[in-house]
Amino acid sequence: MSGTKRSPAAALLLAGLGLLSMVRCGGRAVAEEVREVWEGHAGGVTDVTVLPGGEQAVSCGLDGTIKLWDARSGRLLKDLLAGGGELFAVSADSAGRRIAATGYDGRIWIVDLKNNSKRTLSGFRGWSAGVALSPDSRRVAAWSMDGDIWIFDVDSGDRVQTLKGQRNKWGMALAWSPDGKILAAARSVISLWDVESGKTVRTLEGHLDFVRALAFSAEGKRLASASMDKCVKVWNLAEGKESVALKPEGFAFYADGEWVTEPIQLPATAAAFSADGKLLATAGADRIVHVWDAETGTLRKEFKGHHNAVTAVAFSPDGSRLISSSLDHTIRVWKLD
Amino acid sequence: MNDATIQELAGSIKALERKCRRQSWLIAAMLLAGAAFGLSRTVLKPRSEIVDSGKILQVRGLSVVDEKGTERVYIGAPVREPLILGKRFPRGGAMSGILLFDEDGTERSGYCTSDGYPNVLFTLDAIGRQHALFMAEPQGGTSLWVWSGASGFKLGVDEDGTNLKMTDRGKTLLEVPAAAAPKGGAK
Repeated sequence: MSGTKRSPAAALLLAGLGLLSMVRCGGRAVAEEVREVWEGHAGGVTDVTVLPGGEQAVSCGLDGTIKLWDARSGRLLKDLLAGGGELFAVSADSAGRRIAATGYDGRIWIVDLKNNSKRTLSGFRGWSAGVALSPDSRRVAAWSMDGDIWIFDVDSGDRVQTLKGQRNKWGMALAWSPDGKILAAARSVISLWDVESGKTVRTLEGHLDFVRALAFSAEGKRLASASMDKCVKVWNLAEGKESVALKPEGFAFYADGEWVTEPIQLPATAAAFSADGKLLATAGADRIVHVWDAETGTLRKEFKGHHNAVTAVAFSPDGSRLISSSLDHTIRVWKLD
Repeated sequence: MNDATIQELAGSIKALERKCRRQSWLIAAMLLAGAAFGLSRTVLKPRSEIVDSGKILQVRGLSVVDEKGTERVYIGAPVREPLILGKRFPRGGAMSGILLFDEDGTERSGYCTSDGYPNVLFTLDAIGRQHALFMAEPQGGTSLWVWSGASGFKLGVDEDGTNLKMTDRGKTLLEVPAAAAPKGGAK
């Protein structure tokens, strides 16, 4: 299986030398999928989320912008923010009234989508690579570099709660449960916090490296986690146990007019449930968007088209489309029907 | 045309040819003199004057980006926190030197000195995880580590000699010099 060890760069070089058949020994040629491409970011797109109703989507990126898109046409409606420095994450409430975003300059941006008013929250140590706006839009959570999770009151801007983590054990993944009572936060161990009491109600252990993304299912009974350890897990929260473990395989690259996949495993960065909870989408450094049966872990679909790592995935509320953001500066829409 | 006229014309032609040759020699001599003068201005310029005429760029950081604008090389004092798949992680200590990034913009290699403790090191990383480290410490100890998961080796040299340790999936395959027996071990 020498082909499995061949790097994409080496493969491209061999392709250039006319040794294409050798290149494909370790991989399989695949067809490019039908897709829409949204272009507008001038840097890597680090996060994307579809707003409730499915009419609009919001993205943020390393170009310091937060962009509002018409999710039906892919038309860029407006920049909600420009000059925000490198932005790493964006989160919306359950009504699509507000979004929160965070980045390298240590500020949390709150944008009111009705009147486009903006303000910032700050004060924690360093920067937060993750942010989560509560479903009711009243609270926003962010990691501080000292290992604590800060919860701000969005209206007053005050820090109203500090969930005490381990000293200097900061993380980046955060997610509110759909009912807003539980905050999931992870470094490699996932902690489920009862927000009202400020106590950990459960810890989920199994990942060996940073968790990059957390996503609750719509009914709030399952949690998906995507990790730099190359694994994606689905957790049954009632039992506190892993119910599905996925190891997406394949690194997609474009050579000589075709997509080729190398069978290697790379860090996972994104996970999202479909609204009905039946499907789980994952993605990562492999540039492939995978769609799985969320109950059995059976692979349903693979979408290839991004030319760099994929950073986030989101289903449309009706489940007909899947949206992914990438460091290739684009957002792509994949048809699931 | 009579003979006298022909001779007169021939004389004129010869005179013109002589004049033309003289002018050619004169132009060549002028060009040679110009070239020699130009050469003397550069080759024979005093060394101190050459150094002083150059411009030294002084910056705290220099970023080289690819055609898409993705940062691929960064030189800085200090360098920035590592960007890994679109998010910055804390470095855990200031470093100054050169960093290399892949086409995702993820940091993959560094050739740096530590700020605060005078080590110099060279690293090679997978995505988000270091796999090779070559380091020289200020007192002369030098080490090469290469690892993947629980497998790897370390080769080091310092004032006490040379040491080598090789492990495979957590099991020690080779250790030179042999690890000292634990004190108070089984009798």
